[in-house]
Amino acid sequence: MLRFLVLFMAILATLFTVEMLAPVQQAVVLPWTSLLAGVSGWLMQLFDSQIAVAGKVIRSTTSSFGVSIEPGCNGVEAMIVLLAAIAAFPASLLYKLKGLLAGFVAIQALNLARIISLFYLGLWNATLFEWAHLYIWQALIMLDALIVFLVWVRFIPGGGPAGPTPDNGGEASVGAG
Amino acid sequence: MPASGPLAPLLGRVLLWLPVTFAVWYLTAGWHLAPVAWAAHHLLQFWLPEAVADLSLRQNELLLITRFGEVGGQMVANPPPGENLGFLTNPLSYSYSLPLFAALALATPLPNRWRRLAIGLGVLLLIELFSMLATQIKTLVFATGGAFVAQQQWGAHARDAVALAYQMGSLLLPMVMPLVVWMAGHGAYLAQLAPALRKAPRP
Repeated sequence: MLRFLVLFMAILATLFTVEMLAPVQQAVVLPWTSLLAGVSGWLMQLFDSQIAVAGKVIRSTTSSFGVSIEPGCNGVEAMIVLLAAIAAFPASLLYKLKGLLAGFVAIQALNLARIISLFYLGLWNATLFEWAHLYIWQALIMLDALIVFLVWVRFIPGGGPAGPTPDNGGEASVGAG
Repeated sequence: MPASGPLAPLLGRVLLWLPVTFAVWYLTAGWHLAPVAWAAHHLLQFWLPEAVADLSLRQNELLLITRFGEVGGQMVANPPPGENLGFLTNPLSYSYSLPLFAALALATPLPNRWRRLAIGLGVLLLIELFSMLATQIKTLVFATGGAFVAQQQWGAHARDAVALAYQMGSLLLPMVMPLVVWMAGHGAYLAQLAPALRKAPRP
């Protein structure tokens, strides 16, 4: 467990630093954020005609309220956390890719729910919006990433029941609390 | 047992605990923020006494009083009394790791639950101290019109390091550290949830 956590933190710090670089922001993060705003706006326009999207901003056409999707709200950081965890854990490349794909879907689906719910919450009550935006949804998105990782680890091929086996000889239990 | 095994009950318990831990966290914010703000105040006064006049809690907000101020349209160090620039920030924005970790720890059926909770919260308060320091230094660097940077003679690399530390402290660490601390402190339970975590990871 310790080895995994150290490797995980090292990969995480590296990926996060790379994400902060201006070229990466320009080429990947900002286009992704605009795409996310566009998809969120499109979903909202299916049942609400009073929505307009411009770049990474979603706004109401009948009031002055709008939301701008910023770093921390685009699911990129949660994806980086999941990517670092999956990369740090020993498994086949194919299984890692499957985990990342499933994680991408799970995190971004919940993130769309976050953006849409925050928009309507903000239209209704500014205090609740702040609470949900700054605290509650951050926690839920990370919980989502954690659950995806635990499910992924649980079903790793060959990761059957724990305990000393001929394969590992019980040589190094890393599960001590 | 369903395919998700004990994960679904764990998730259910976490979701039940989250409203409780968030409510307690918010209602006791003055208490758990106080030691972190006190430590940050003393560290900043020790490290940057010529830039920081005071750092204190105003209910749930943090007030930084600098030794800079605007005089005649110019940002200067040591302005006349009462002209010091002050900045209010919201420390709860990087403190939500506490209720998230608390919900995870309380939902985990292991012995010594409260001891694990207390140790984990202690570690997270140290992380919060880093976040608080990074946030205040970022404010000094980027919100004092260059006066702080000129006073400290900090170059571009130092400013980049501050920006990165701020992003880490305000965005990444509050998100990820509750999970890391929970995994580190609850390995025995994780081994039941996901047996692969109990085996020695080999690349």
